[in-house]
Amino acid sequence: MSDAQDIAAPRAGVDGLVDLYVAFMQISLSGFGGAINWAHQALVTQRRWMNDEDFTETLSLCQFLPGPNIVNFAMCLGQRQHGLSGSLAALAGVFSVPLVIFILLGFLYSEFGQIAFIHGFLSGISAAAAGFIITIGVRLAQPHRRRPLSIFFGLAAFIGVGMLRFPLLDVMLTLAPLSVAIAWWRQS
Amino acid sequence: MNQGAILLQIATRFALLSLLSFGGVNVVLPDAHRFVVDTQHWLTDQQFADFFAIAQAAPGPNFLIFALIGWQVAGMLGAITATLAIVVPAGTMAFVVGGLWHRFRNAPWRRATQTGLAPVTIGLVFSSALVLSGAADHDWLTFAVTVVTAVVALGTKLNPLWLFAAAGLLGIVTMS
Repeated sequence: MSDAQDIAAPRAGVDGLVDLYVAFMQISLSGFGGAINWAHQALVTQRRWMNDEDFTETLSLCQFLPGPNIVNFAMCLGQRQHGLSGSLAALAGVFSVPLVIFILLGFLYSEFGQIAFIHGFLSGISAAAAGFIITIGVRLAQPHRRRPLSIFFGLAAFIGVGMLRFPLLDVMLTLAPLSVAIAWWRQS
Repeated sequence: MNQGAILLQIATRFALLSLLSFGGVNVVLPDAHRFVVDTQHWLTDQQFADFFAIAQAAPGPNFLIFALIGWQVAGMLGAITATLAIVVPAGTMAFVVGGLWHRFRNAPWRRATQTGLAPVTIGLVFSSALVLSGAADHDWLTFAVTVVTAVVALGTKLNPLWLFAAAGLLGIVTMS
């Protein structure tokens, strides 16, 4: 169990909900390169709502479940502090203000996206951003590079979805149960 | 197609993607591309690539690329519908499972699930890279930008925003 002394108790009632909203808004607005580094800074270092161990464990749950990690994290921590209303407050913090910013950007894009220099600017960034996804893939793949089974399932997913453009649902329903079953069989 | 039917399609399709996004939204981008560009023709390849660029570079979580898609397809309501469709199903699951977590965090099936899903996720991230590069790279220069960014980001701890800024400036200089 976590050490009671180094955890700050959440404030009660509406104050606590506001705290959650503000904390997750701060995290989601600052989050480039994975909001998670910022989450640690905001939740562990700054507010002391969790200790390191708590944080790591909650993060591993959030990475295990489908969905954006930051959304899952907001739901879990919000629930722990204030139940359903805590989750909703934290979730609102994650997307309310960024959504307004994005709608504004969407508006600007449809008005001005065709202007030559903006078009050039975005073309450059989108090419770089595609490269950045390769980086994420390579980093994730590092620990698996000597595991033939991982390579097999990774390649199968890449060929199915990336190259042949099969529907994701079909590919997942084919590969995931097989891959999980083999992992289960090998660990027992 | 009328607005209501489009919103319903956005909601159901993106909700499904929400539940399939093991490892985050980067793994469902190829399927989103397949649906909105190839099947529905709601967006062009270039628009999809542009939205991805904006979502990566703007302040806010990357999953809001779905808000931009929703905005393009059906305006304000589209943006809100798309965002809720991505957030609510996965969020509900996190809420339910989060409460039970302590009961099964050491369960063997949980470890097996995590181990089994990881390589599939990695294959899907590379699928995203391929689809996005296909949408973003239309000549040797943009292709070179993709490759150089990947190499530099792998080799250094440079904040990717600098790479994006450099690539954006290069784009302005060469393409306008």
